Amino acid sequence: MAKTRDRDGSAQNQVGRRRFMTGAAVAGVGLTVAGVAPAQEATPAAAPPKAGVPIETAAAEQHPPAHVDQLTTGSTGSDYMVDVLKSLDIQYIASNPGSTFRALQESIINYGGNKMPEFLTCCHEESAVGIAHGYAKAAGKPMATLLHGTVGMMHGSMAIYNAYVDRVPILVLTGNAGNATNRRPGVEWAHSVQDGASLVRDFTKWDDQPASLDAFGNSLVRAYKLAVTAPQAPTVIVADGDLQEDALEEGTTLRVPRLSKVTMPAGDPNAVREAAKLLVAAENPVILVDRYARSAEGMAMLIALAEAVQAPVCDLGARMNFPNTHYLNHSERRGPLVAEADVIFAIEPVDLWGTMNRLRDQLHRTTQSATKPGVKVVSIGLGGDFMAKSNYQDFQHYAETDLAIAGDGEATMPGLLDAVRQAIAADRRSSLDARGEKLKKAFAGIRDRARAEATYGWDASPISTARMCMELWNAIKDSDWVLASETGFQSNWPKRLWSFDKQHRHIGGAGGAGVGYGLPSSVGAALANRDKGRLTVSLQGDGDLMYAPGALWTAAHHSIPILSVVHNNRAYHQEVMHVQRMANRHNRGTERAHIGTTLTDPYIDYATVAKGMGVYSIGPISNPADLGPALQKAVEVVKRGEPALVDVVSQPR
Amino acid sequence: MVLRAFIIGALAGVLSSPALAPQAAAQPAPATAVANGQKLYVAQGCYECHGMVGQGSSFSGPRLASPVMPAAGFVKQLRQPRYEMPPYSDKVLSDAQVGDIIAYLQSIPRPAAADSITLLK
Repeated sequence: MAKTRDRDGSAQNQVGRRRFMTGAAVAGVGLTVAGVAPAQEATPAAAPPKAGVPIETAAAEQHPPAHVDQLTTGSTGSDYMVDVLKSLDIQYIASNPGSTFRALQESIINYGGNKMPEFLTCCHEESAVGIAHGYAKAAGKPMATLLHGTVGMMHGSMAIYNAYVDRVPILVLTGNAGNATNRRPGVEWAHSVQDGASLVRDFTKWDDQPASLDAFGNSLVRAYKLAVTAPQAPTVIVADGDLQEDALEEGTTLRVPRLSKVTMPAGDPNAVREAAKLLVAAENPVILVDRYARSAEGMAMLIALAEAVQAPVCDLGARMNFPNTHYLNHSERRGPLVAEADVIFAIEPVDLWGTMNRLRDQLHRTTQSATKPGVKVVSIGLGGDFMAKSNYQDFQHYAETDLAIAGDGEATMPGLLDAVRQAIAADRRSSLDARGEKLKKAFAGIRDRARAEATYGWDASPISTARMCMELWNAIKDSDWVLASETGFQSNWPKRLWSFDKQHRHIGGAGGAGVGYGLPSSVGAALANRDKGRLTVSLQGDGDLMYAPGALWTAAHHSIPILSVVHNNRAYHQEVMHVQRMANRHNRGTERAHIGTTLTDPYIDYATVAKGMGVYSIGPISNPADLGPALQKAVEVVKRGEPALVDVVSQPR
Repeated sequence: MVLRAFIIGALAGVLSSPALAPQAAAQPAPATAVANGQKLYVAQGCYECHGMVGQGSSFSGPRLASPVMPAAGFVKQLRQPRYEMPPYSDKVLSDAQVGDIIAYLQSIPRPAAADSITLLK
């Protein structure tokens, strides 16, 4: 029960107005409060009210308890909530405003000074969470999001799923009017729920709905710690409306629990030594690496490992793991390397089974192994078999391994490196070095082949993806650039022809492949990179942009410098191909596969869309000769600290 | 229909580009076969995976142009594709129509060398 000061300054044990009404309901007949004439005196004798019925008659309202006239207070629980957020070094909180957290929002912007965290205004909750997703990967620390209860959570849920599958930490807060007695009629009922986090529980790591401010402090700190400890993932805290809005007595201090230092779980040392021996002894090893590197140090350790054993590395791209300028990066040769490998060494694999097998998507589905008999498979990571929930099947097909080490890749790497170095006998060194020389020669041809392939369709209109990517490269290569988007839909030209030499050059993809991730995540990454002086660019899908284009406005409003190059191929091309596949299977021809899959008639003018949201924009550009000058202009705008968009009418892939 | 008209027009622009060195076919196909092949290449969605000028994509399908595979192998891959390509039976594309598509692909000029392109040096 909160202590409040009466208007004459004397402290009394009084219930807050809301709890008074509840208490009165429980007490039933005959309850009087000092200073208030009982309602029954004002009316003729009537049957006593039934137990459980609030004593809120018209007469009671005419003579409310004295403290109900108190309309203001210096501080409420939401101020404490901001204190806890500040203790966690949360720099931003991305949100679309909602009444379920009105007090918390006001405390953020006034009590907290709109700093640490700063409120990022978003036009859709999916954008808010998407921004937090991209930010966390670029910044190396999480952002918070604040989602309106029920409908806001629903809007944000796809983006939460993406972040969960991608194993990215986000601190998700949502509000709720849990106390039914206090709900305003109408909308507040439609936006209230018994279990605010249940909607996303299948794809978050942990959630809580604290019933007191003390519990809130404990839970928010725990939620942060769980989110950032590998396997990382979003966590959810429901901030009850009463907890936010109830008054705090002047001078009340609530303790903020201390966040202990976060360490990541490393693999069992004995298993790591065994894995090291297998790797060192292999004649044709291949290192597959996917959701591994969180830091420059992580990439440096992987380079050291690969060089120690002179093994080719295939970077599967969920993170920026291995420089494509290094002679041991043989990502382009993954198929033959996996087929010939005697040891497959997988570090934080996302879909190991899919890498070692081929499933044919025809009328009758057949599976074929992509490896040779007797291959030894080692995996290190905290993937699907470590944190797997039953409902959503993101854990992928079960992969048979000879040694599966449960441990965070980066945290396990120092021990693995030591074990590998110790396992290399002096007489093994020369054969490893000889393998390295062969790999250098094989590497030399990879880029030349890519250059030759890029010439096909070079002057085409719609513009080829090779031309689009190389014009963009020419505009950014002398800056400290970051590519915040995936590259598969552009035939991976950036990974094949740009120089990904540092760990911060790329942040991977959506995780759950939920379309609509691209735009907000690149805005979030650009926000993180803004203070580091890095130039963030994105190859932005046209369909992806249309899910929630309001993130462009957020970028303009908050001066977030991001260059979005729209890969405007005027369709959802994956889906066109899927429908074509079905049409062919039925022998019906593919002439109608464009129905429901293309963005035509009219063509969307993305430059006009962006301009309407305050973003500098150029386009649509169909002539490849116009692309270079347009990109140079756009880069100048972004370097001045503002977002820009270039709409490129381009080929499907 | 609008998208297809746009694509066909765009393809016409590519083929007349002065920057590309023309590739002489051993026996040039009739103009009608090339034009018909171009229409079929678009209508049957070949461009989705293989690009509008047969340039291919590491993501979706190999290069078909420059050089074009021999007709027998082309038809076999079309009817009984290996791996992921969806099949095109003769109910969808007759042998004659496949011939026209091949004629179109053969008409696509070979690109300039990478060393002659500044951005690829």
